[in-house]
Amino acid sequence: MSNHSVEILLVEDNPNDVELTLHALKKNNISNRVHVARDGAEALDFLFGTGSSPVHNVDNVPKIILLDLKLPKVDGLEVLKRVKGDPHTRLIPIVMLTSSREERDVITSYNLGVNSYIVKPVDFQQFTEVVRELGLYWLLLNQPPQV
Amino acid sequence: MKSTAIRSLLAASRSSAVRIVAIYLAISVAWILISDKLLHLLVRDPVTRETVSILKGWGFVMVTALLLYELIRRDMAALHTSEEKYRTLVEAADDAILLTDLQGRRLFANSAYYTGLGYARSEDETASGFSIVHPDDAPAIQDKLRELQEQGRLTTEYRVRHKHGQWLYRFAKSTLIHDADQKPTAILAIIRDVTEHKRMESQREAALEALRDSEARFRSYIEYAPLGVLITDQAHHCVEVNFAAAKMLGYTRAEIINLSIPDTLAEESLDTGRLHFQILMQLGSATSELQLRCKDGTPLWVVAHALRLTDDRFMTYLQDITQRKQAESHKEAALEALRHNEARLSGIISSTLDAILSVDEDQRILLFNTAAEQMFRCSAADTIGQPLERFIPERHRAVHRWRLRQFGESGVTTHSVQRWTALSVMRADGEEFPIEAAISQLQIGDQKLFTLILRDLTDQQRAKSQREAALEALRESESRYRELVQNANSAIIRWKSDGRILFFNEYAQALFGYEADEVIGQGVNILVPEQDSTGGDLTALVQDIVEHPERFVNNVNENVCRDGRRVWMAWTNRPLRDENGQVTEILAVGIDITERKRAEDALQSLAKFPAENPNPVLRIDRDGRLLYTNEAGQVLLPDWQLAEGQAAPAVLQAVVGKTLLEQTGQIIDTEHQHRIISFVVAPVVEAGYTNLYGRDITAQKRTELQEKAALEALRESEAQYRALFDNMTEGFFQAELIEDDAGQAVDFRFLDVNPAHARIIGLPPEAVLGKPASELFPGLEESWLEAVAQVARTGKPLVVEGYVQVTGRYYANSYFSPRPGQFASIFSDITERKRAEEVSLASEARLAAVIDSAMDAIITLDSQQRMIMFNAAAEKMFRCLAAEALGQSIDHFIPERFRSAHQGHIRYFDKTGITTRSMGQLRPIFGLRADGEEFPIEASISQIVVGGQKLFTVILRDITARKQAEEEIRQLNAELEQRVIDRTAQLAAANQELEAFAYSISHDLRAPLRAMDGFSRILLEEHAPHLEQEAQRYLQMVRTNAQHMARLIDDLLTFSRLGRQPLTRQWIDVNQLVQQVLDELRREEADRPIELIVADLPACQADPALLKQVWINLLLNAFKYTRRCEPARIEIGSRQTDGQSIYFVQDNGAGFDMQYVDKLFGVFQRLHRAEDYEGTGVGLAIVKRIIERHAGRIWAEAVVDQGATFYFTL
Repeated sequence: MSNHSVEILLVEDNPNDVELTLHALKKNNISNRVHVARDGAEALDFLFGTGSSPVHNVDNVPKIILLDLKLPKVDGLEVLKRVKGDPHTRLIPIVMLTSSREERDVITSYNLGVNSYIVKPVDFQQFTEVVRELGLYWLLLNQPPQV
Repeated sequence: MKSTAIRSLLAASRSSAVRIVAIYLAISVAWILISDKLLHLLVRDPVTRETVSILKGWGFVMVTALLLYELIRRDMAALHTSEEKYRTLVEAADDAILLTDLQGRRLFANSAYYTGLGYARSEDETASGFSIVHPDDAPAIQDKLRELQEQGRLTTEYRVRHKHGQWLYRFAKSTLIHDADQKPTAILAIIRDVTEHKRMESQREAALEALRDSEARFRSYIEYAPLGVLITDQAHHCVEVNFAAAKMLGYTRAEIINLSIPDTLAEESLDTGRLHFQILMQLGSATSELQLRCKDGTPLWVVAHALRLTDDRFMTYLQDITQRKQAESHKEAALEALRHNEARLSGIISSTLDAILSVDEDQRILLFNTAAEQMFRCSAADTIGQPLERFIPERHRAVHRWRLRQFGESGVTTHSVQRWTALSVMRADGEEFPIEAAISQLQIGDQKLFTLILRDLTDQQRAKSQREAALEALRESESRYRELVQNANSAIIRWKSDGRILFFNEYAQALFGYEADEVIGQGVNILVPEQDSTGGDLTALVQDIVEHPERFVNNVNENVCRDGRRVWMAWTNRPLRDENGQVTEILAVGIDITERKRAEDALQSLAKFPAENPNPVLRIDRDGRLLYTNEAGQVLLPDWQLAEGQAAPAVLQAVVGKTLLEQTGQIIDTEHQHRIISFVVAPVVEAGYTNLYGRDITAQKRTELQEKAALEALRESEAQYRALFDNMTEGFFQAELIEDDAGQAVDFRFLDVNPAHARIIGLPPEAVLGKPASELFPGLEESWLEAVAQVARTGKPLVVEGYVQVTGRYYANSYFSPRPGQFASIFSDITERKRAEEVSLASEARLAAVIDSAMDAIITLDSQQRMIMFNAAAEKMFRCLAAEALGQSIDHFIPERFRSAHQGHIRYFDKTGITTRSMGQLRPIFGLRADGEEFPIEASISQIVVGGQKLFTVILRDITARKQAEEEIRQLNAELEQRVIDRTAQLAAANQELEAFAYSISHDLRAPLRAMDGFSRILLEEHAPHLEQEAQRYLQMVRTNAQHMARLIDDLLTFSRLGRQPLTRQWIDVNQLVQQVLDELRREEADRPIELIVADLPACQADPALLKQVWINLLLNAFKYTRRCEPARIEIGSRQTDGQSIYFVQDNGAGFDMQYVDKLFGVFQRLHRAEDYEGTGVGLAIVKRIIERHAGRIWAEAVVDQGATFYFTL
């Protein structure tokens, strides 16, 4: 499969959330390819090809990364830091999609260069709405800078 | 020739018989010579001649017979006249006239002789011979008789017995009488009774002796007494002084004569002195306290008591009161110093708020200081005199009484302090509070005082006012005086200037025969006759006394009693004046001198003398010509150059002038040359002449005059001294020692006292004089007796002050010895002064007790930095006894390295003149104990000037313990800080954990909920056709609960976050904020009619986000709980209380039951069911936490179904 087809990298350890997110995306007709990384390490491996990830091409970058904050192995903030700290991945928009409403998480995230921070609502309807808006904006409306 | 012969014969003849014989012879011779010649010339006739011759012879015989007859007749008449003359003289004589034979047997005696002996003439026989002569004198008379025969005349003095047995003194002038042959035939004696004279003489002698004695005694008092006595003239120059006065003023007696007393006045007494002399000149007496300058310039305080003696003589006695004045001023200064100390102490100690109370044995409060006032919330005025128990809760009272009694009986001495702990007392308003009390007891006089120090010390109460004590004493003295006056041995009458009697003492009542009731209010004139027995006019006497009292200070006049009896009185009249100097009353003190007067009169009478006596007897006819003088009278005549028939000297003529001839018994004294002759004038009316019986009284007169002058001088002197002693304010007594057989003084007897003595001691002189002291004042101290015995024996004066148990009063005595074995004392009652001193001492003792029981060391320094007071606390602090510390330099207790700096501080402090300040505030200061240990102190210093000397008082507090405590606190603080750091770290860790927990809650707990909600939704939306209606409802319930759970989690997180979030306070426009919140809420509840009342709300300082949360939650509640109301009404407002804004939100909704109000603000606490009003139960907990974080307060009031009001402040 072509690396170019990967448009969304979803980093989420909770399978329920993965399924709900994918469900929401699908429901909103965002059919772009979604790659799900189940922890931070896997996400980094996918992006930088340093591990067991099938994706090794550094140039193969997703259009958006939906990143959970609390992740096994390498947590969301660490991932964020690595992504934003690397010139190759720096420009990938990252949306924090998390249950945490903690202020400091929000601030840290923004300080590390997150593009958006979204608290996952419990209400699935609202959640669906959020995902929809995300997809619309980042995948369709946003003009990524030319590298 | 014949006529010459006749003339010569006539001239020669002295008797009529001779004259008659001479005339007869002359006629006979003439007849013989003439008749013959005439016969021869006329008759020529011889017969006629013869007849005529015979007739001539018969005629001659007849003429001779006629002549003889005439001669005899004349002789008989002459004899008769002579006899008459002698009889008159002899019988009229006052003197007894006795004619005896040469052996002394009586031949004749006149009536005076018999009456003098008490016999009648008929009792002749019984009064014969020597039988009545005193046996001791009889031999002398026999001798005298023999002597008389040789000398012809002499005088004798002897005693004879009166008929009634008493012995009479006789003075006899005896003359030998010779017959024609010059042979002695009889003795004529003129005898005068001199018994009365003798008696008078001896009485006068005794009186004189007594006077002399009294004068000498007073003189000795004056000479030896420590009282200065000055006699001054009108210009107040000294004329006479006693030794003490000279010594007092530092002059010799010679130097002081002519010294002007006003010149010796010290500057500060100039005005008083001027007044003193003015009063003296105008009123005749003055008493002042004056300061004089001695010769060497040293000041001398005296009481000067001055009296007018005569018009130009004044007597002043001075009492040296310098010591008293000094003592007073010293005492005053000491008291002043104490007052200063006290003020300073109270100033310093007041900051510690320790209360001091003094109570007496009956537990009545005597002293209550300001701190106590504050402590007990009750003014001292309301407390003094109240029982202490009012401050003790009822349940403690019994215990308190027991404790105080125990303490009182414990005998724990003055200054000892007993501590009671955990005592509970009560304020005036009933509030109880615990205190720590220290108590000390103090014995002052016979009164026991307890002083309670409730943590500190201060003010001392002024003792019972001195004025009150003085008044009491005055009252006592008044009543004593009254008694004295009533019982006085003189008449004492007080009368008003209009003459009305105000007071009439018992003696006067007895003397004049009036009862007091009868005379009081009567004019004093009833006692004064219009004329006295010497003819003096007394009608104006009363008026004169009022107008010129100074002339009547000592007045002798006759008074009349009720029964008409006359009494001669010697009065001392003292005017009492009002403030204008007008005489308002006269105080008259009188002594009955009638007897004395009579005796004096008797003295004046003189005896008469018969003609044939050694004294001159003269006869003067009514024309003033001398008719006769006896032999003794002859002696006078050459001096008067007078012969019989010539006019008598004018002085005698005047006496025997026609008018005076009617009088008998008048006595005239005639001074002639150097003689004084006393004549008794005895007119013989029918004979037309007057007999004058004279007596040469020159010698007697001279003696009398001299005596009189001497007596007068003596009397004057005595009166002066007596006036002094009677008027001096000091008491005086003289006493002689009574010794036992071993010569040990065991007692003394009072010999003399002055009026002041009676006044001071309260016993009249008659109750004291002659009495032994042991009888009057039983229980006199032996030591005291020893002291006065010493004075009496050695003559060394002694000045002491002492307490006399018997009278219960204090006296200042100045003892001296006027003669060996006797002592005298001049003393004054100083009880008032002593009491005042005692009060001062008591106050001082109390202050001293307070100072000594003070917990702070108190040290007073003189200007040389020497310690002059060192209290008990100082002893303890410096571990040095006061006895050792006093007089030492304060350097002793200052570590060496601080000494010079300390001196600098003192010098600086001295210059500033600041009275009080504390020391050691800039840097710590240290003291040095006697054992060398240094310790930190806190000090305050004050300065005062006492008696010209600057004193510093330092109050020191040993702050070793405090410093230690401070050190401990510092260490504890350090430890605490460490512990805080540790705890903070632990807390931080815990916080972190909590945060992690909260984090995981927010993150992890929500995920499952989301899954539950999400999948339920997916099921409902995408698989609905496969699900039954019931299943779909359940799925919906799963979703609802998941969402509620999510809200709970969110609220809980918000709540927990509030505790950690930092506050950012800023000014907030509350109106705007509320409006914003309302807008948001109204948007959600737009369909519901709500009456909103929003008042203008004040701005406040708060965290904007949090404050908004508060308003959101409160308003949300208001909206929520009014959901069922129609119409809903919500009011938002504020009010101001104590400068604080209180905001409130009021609704008319569901309200709540006030009994659950406690739970209102608890987390997850709900007062309504979820199905009625949804909610998490966290909203109000959040509000409360926010308010509390702003240091505000929130509360609520509500009534079920009527609404609730929430108030909060920030």
